[in-house]
Amino acid sequence: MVTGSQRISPALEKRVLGFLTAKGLLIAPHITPKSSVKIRIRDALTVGLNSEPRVIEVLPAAILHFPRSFLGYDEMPDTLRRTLECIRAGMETGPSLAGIPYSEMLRWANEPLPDKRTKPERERRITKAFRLKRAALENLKIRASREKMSETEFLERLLLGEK
Amino acid sequence: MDILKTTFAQVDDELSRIARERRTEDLPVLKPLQIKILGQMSLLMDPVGQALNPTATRDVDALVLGDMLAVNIFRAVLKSRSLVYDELSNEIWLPDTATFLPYHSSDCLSVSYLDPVSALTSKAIKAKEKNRFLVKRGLEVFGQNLHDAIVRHGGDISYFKQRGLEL
Repeated sequence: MVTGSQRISPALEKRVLGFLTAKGLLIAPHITPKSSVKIRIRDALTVGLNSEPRVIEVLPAAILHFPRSFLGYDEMPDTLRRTLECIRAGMETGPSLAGIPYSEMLRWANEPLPDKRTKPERERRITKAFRLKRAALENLKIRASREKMSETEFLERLLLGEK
Repeated sequence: MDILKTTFAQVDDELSRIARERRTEDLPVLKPLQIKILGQMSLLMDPVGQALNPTATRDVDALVLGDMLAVNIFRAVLKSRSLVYDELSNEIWLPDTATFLPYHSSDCLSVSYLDPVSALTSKAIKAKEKNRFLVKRGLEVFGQNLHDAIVRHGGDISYFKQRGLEL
């Protein structure tokens, strides 16, 4: 269990806030950005519960955008795990975390980050296999090529009604 | 704070450029854009508020008054800097004693921000979970002023003296 009744060291707080600031998820002028540190999920939660709840608000977005920057996935509380599953599945509702509504955590997971290197969760592509008849596949190739699009772009345009 | 200073400077530049073009072309000039910053960003703009070491998400709460073109320029500049204008800013509750302090002023743009005691009172009443540590620090800095404002508007001061939550 991660509790909110412990004193946290200023160094831990600076490390967690420094990482989230460096990645553009938080703005904290009093903190030096630290982009290349590894963060234990438990530590981030401890800072969120004891010092700055906005850490919890952006933590799911941070874990989804930068999974390799986090350690201690095996210690992750179930509520956070469920929140991440709901965001990944694109669900509109999900569990709140320490008083932070799911909608706020979902929002930051779906916002582009300043460095533009990571994609918001809702823009990520998911692999899905279909077994199509040869004729359908040929038709798809021809029509996509006529529009100067990849087959994926062509299908997305058809399904999403984009012009 | 740098990010806000440069953001408002860019909005001002864009509006000044449009004003010059309109004067040259004898078109009606835009009304000056008025921006009143609320929320966490208002604390980051205030010298005493900054002493609370506030941390913000990229959300910008603001009351914006002006021609649609000018408002859209403000939105676009925020977006270009990965800041997000909160479209529900008009719904933010403010105490009746709220005042706005000047931050940036020109012919095209005036920016002000909510006074820190009102910003913290609003947070203590309407978003206490996310702001419990900030309000606690605020009570140390602003003392009786903030205490009285929270109590007068029905807030629970004891909440900000509790320890954190559990997961």
